[in-house]
Amino acid sequence: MKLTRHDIGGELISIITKGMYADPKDALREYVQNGVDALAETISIKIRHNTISITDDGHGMDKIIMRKAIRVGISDKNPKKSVGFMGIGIYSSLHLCDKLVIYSKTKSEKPHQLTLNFADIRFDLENQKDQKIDSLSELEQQIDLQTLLENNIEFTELEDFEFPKTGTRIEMLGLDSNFFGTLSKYEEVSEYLERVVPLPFSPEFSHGPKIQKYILDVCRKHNAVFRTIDLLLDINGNEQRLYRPYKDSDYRDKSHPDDFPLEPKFYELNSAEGFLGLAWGCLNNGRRTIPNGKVRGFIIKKHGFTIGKREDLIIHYGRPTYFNRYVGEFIAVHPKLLPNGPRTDFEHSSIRTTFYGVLQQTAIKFNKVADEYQEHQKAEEDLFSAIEKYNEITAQIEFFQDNGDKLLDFFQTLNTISITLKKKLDAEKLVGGNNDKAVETIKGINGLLEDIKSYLDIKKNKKKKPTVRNNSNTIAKIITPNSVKPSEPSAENLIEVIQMIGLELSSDLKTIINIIDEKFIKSLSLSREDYIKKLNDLREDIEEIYESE
Amino acid sequence: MTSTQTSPSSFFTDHARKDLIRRLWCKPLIKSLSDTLKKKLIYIGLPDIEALDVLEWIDYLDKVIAFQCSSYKKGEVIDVAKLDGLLQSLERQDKLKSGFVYQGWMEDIMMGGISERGQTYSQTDFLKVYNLDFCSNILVPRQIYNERGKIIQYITKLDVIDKFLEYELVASNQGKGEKFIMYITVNTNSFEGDLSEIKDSCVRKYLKKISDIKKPEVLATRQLKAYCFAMLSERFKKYDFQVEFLPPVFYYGTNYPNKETRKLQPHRMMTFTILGSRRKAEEPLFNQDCQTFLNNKFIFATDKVISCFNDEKFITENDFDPDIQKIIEGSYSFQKLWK
Repeated sequence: MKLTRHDIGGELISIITKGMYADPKDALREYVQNGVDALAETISIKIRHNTISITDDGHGMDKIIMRKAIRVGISDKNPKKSVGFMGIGIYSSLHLCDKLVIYSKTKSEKPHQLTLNFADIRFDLENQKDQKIDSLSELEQQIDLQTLLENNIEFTELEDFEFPKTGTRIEMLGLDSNFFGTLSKYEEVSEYLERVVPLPFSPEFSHGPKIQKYILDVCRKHNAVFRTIDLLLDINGNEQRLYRPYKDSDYRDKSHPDDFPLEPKFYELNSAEGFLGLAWGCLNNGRRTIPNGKVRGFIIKKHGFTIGKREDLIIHYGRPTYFNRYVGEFIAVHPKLLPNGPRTDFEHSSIRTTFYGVLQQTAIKFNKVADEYQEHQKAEEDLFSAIEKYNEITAQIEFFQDNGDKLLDFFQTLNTISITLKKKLDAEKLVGGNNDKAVETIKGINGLLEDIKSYLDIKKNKKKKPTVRNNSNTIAKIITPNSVKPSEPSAENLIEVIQMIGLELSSDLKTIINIIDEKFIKSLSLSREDYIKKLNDLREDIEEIYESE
Repeated sequence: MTSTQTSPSSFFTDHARKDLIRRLWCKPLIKSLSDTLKKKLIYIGLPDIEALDVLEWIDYLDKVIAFQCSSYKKGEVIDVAKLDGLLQSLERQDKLKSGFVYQGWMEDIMMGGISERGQTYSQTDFLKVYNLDFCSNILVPRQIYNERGKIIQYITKLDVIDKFLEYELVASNQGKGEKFIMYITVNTNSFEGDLSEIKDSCVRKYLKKISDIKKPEVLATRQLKAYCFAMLSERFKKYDFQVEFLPPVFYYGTNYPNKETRKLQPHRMMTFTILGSRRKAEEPLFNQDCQTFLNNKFIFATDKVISCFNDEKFITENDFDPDIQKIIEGSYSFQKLWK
């Protein structure tokens, strides 16, 4: 079937660009993308009152390439090497500005200028709509795409002085005032660009150089393309160099000022269909959600440009707990993984399915790392709390050697601690020096348990006090060298308290007092120090009664 | 907040004398600073929509921050976009790294921090050439009104200079440069300041000496010369800058109808050239010889040459070599501070 130019209406270009570039900042991304594809090293974006200019130092476009740039839906770009390949990006600012002017120069040719009169294109299309409403236009009279573009695109040859440097400059003139508000907010625009453009790591992210090296090494090994660009953003005179958005400070907040990113974890993303890309992630050392919600989690990048949003990937992690403790990226490099128009995902294909499968497996690995880290941290905390408890009991054991209930209580506590630590050791939850500490503590606990058994036996057999091994004390000293000795009491037991007040006690009363002392004062005391304190308090109270009388 | 001001746009008409000053007086100095520091400068000022000074000095400039009103008087519309376009074409031609226009009155933008276009003023760069081509009387305040039409503030050009020095101090504290040239062009047809504000005895002595001058406009020119020397020196020192005035340039501007004489008469214009350098710790304060500065003749620009000038026969003013290169090289700043 033969088609004519009237079969493709001019409205098509408006419909496509409106759908693909909903955010006015998307046009910046599209034009930066052209610079990246032109192998630019530096790109500068200047946003003025109602003008935006994007200048790159790439290889520029000669006359033929510039002619091809105006094509709709046709692109010479190789998806393996280039980010843009759809042949539509040049029209991304159709609804944003009145005029798009492109200046470009290659090393060997004179510069050229391409002017796209977007205001006229929009006017022609609006005019046509009005005529349709008024039933004034016939089908054959409706403007076709070819005519619409022919009428509103101009090509001009320039002299060298008019655009002397190799590269391309895109000027968006007559910016719609509705968009100027958004585009003049530095923070908003820089945040967007930091998210979507292939930028180097910030000097404020300590693992940046290591990650960058890994990415480059792996991509080189697989003959894959990965580049970053220097991007300068100048909005109304405020010029700054932009970086990827990650910083060590993202991991901290007021409540946790010492949190930091742990060493990055790296994974290659391989499948039967070849090398798909790689992933990196830095976990928060604090086992907490990373406070900066704008960067936490993982994101997909293709040629450095972001695909979709961070929150899109949570589903692959099962639950957000570990996801939100990471900052990381999945860097896709497989040439057949093609981003869709609005860059919200990849185009549906078998390689996309494979990619997400591998991503999910990698997400499990990241989850496992987070889980193991959490277990190690918990085990470490348990170890330190066990050591603390062990030291506490060690300090009290001699004082309570005659208190059967207390000794049984100690025995049970120490036994539980010992079992828990053994389990942690067997499960290899403790690493490095903590492993040795746990072994040492178990050894000490076992000795202490032996001591408790001896005390209980003595009590049972009413034999004299055995010579207790020094084992427990020695270990206690190793762990807490500064353990405090109780201060010397003025009274050692309740009988002495009464005698110090000056009361005479018969032997029967002494026996009764001794029982009261054992059952109500000594057993309620937490330690020898506590016991002595209680006795002294009691003495002072009694003395006060006497004095008041 | 709104503001009004009448300022004759005819001042801004370019003419051969202005061109001569730009080319033969200002440019060698700008070149000298740029060469000495091996860096291009940043232009901050009022270039007018033709930006003729920017075009003349372009080889020594890196960036242009321009202030431009869209209207100086009721009913007048100035095409600010023309200046936008010009700066953009200079960027495109790789002659400038960046060109940028703040639309509105410089006083409003500097004191309020925001332009008519909603652009926030920021000044973080270094190595500057200020071209404050005020062309009006430096002492006439701009009135700032609130929404109900009540005057809430008076701002003079001196306040604006004060603000620039404050920014310059911040920039130099951040290690972003410590040397600059400031050109200030003012109308000296009359003097409306308060001479009692001047404390410097040397300047007061000079004012006494010239008080016998009969022609009011001739007197006003010298009063303004003395007033600006005293007041600006004070301001520079307040912000810890060494300040040195090169001889002021006097020239006749475009004609205007004098209401008293009922004749067309040229505006009497004067351009101050000030060298500013951040004073370093332990560096002695440079006190310029007031007598020499005030008692020297003006530099005079005709359509063709620059020479020494005295339009008052009743007072003696000293001759000197008006060669700008020699003046620069003989200056304290060049010899002691810029090298």
